[in-house]
Amino acid sequence: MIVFLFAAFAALTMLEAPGLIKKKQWRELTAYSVLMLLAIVISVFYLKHIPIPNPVKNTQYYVKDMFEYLFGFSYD
Amino acid sequence: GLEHPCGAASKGSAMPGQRVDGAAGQIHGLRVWLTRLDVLVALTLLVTVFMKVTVFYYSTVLGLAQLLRLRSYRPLIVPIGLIVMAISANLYPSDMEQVYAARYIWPFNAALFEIVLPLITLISIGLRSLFKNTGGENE
Repeated sequence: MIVFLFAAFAALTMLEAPGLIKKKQWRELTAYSVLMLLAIVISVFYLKHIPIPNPVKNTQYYVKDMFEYLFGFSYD
Repeated sequence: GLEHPCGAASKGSAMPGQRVDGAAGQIHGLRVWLTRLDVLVALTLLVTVFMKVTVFYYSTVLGLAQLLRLRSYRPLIVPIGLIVMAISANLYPSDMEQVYAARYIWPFNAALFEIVLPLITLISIGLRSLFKNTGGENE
């Protein structure tokens, strides 16, 4: 699976990066590379079942605590 | 053969290929017609959610491109889409957790982004247009 993932990412990069280099858009190329690296890291973590910070799980606790603090009762 | 859309209850009275005459036949046809209407609901949900996600995707990509002062937003389309796919795959472990979060967590969480921040933006735009010198020598 990891091999297919890296093959897909390599194909996408080979499709898009040469055009950016040819047009000398270094700022766009930097943003593209950084975001692509982030996507690769998150995808590999997902494939290897490594937990990444989950915004939903973390906001549940403070939303519930805030509701209980503001209105005096819990709705759960 | 194919499964009858009305389920096991009407299997004794009429089979799909069989012709039923009279009032019973009309009710049978109505039941089949009503059962097949849920395709319309699914199609509506698909189209509307597609429109919503398209607007969110476009605004995310365009906003990030303007924030980074890029000349075009096109290089950001593919990486942002890949990040969204990878994050959404492990956001909720099950479907019921998504329903629970949408019912009990998201309204309070979204109040910040859908009520408070747009109100602040609207008020700041109003103040800027109030103090802006229109048609003056600065322009």
